[in-house]
Amino acid sequence: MNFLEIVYKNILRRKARTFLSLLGIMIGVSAIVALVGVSNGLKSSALDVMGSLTGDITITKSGNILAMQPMDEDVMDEIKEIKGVKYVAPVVIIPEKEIKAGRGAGSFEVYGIDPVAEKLIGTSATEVKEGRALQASDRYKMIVGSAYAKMEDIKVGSKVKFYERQFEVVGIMETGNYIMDQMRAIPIDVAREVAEIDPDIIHMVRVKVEKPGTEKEVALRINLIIPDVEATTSSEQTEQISEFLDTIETMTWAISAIAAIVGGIGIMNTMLMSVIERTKEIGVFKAVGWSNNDVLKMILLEGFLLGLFGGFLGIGGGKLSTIAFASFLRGFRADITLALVGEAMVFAVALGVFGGIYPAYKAASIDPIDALRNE
Amino acid sequence: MIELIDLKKYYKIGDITVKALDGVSIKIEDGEFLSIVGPSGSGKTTLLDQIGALDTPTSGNVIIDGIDIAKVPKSILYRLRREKIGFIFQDHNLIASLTALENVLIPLLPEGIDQKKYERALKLLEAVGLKERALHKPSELSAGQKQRVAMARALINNPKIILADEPTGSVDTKTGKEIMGILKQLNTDFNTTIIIVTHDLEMARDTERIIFLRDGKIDKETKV
Repeated sequence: MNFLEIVYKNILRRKARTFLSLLGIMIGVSAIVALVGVSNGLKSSALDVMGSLTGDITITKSGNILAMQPMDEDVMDEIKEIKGVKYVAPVVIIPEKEIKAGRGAGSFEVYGIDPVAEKLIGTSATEVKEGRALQASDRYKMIVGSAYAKMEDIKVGSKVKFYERQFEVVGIMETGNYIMDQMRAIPIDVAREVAEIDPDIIHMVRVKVEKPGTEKEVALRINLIIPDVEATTSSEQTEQISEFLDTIETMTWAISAIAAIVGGIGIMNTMLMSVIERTKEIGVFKAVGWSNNDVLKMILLEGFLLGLFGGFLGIGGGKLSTIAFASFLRGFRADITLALVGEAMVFAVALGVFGGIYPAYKAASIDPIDALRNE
Repeated sequence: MIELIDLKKYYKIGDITVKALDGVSIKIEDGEFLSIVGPSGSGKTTLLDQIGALDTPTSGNVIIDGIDIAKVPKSILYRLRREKIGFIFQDHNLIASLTALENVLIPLLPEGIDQKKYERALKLLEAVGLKERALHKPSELSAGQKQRVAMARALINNPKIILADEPTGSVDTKTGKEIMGILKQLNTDFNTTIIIVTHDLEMARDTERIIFLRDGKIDKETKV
């Protein structure tokens, strides 16, 4: 018999109450693991996407970075004239028309691309694993990312209904990045036709620079010379997205931590009740020769164990909820790293121990004489 | 040896001072089997708390084996209790979630429990006739059996002094006699000083010396 054994038995004395206080910690820790995991997943996916998707410089209409504003195609001629620009490629972005049942959160855009320009720039739309890339002569042809293909059970040669038209899948791209691999692309003129967009409209221009290393300089030149557009280099975009995702991660931690702290207060309440109930027992421990520190140690250990169990349950719960979400949410990805698991566990145990400090102090200060007369 | 010199313990309740012990002086030799008898409120339990180093006096001295507990900080009195004193309470005060054997071992837990200590606890349970019940929880034991487990617990530290507060208070007369018999045996076999607090004069007659308390003072003393 040792302290741990006696503490374990104490915890098991009131199973329902212990379970409820564990639940408090578990929910908080689950939230941390799942939400921070998702935010980690977003971050790594988004950072990988940059560069391969965008070319060296991406140009959009200045203003809203999230909703692409239409630009006139003529802007491409202006861009081409700028010193240091080697190739330009236009992109039209059209929303997926049909949102399938149960896939509400996964409404992905489809890119209309110029196959020739794409090839010159060498974007991921040319990294085809099976089949072939889009060609200039293609009409109702589509290339899809491998993740999307797998999800929708699409193979080279499959027919896909899109904007009331039948498209034939001619190639499957694979970049190894989950977000990228959910992309779909069709020829730019077909995209404009099916989505009834004016033939002069584009949403984005991708640029390849003549000399690697001059991206920033060229982007600055574009911004200065051409009005109403915003040119950003892929590294700048990476930075912006990274900063944005860092903020999301911090917020996620903060919100989940509040949930977990509420759980910690639950532990404190449970332990305080338990100490009050056991006043006489603690008096006996002291009468038979336990020191105040021995009592303190016992109660703190209870907090530690509650935190530890809550942490284990929370990490398991977080992992399970991400698995559950991933099974019905397209594009959902969570990175539950070992570091995150470690942090969540340390947090849970710290909550348990901190929650135990006051009850332990109360228990240690019990006067054995009063306690023994306690009914 | 235990020596109480002009021991006073006063409590303040509002403006009133309650003199729980008011100038008690007793000398108790090693190996004595003694009882303290008195009506409710006479100060018996307060006296036991003082001898048991659970509390320090308002004035006077409680000297246990040469150590004056009034001079020992309250926070380290536990050492004295752990090393020299075994307690038996009226309502046994066993820990419900632990087995009889574990209850006996409780006083030793802070310093760690090895095989030898387990064996000693089992031997003590055997001595009080409960070896077969070692792995039973208190809820599975009768009142008399619980009190015997409490006795084994009081003995686990090999104490020089055993203090028993109404040890037969919660059991029937027959079991009470058995408990007194075991205490007598301990006193004879190990020369353990045994001090019993009781209001039952019949039980007190089984001890060698009876001290009568009244209003916090010694009323009379008789040798049986």
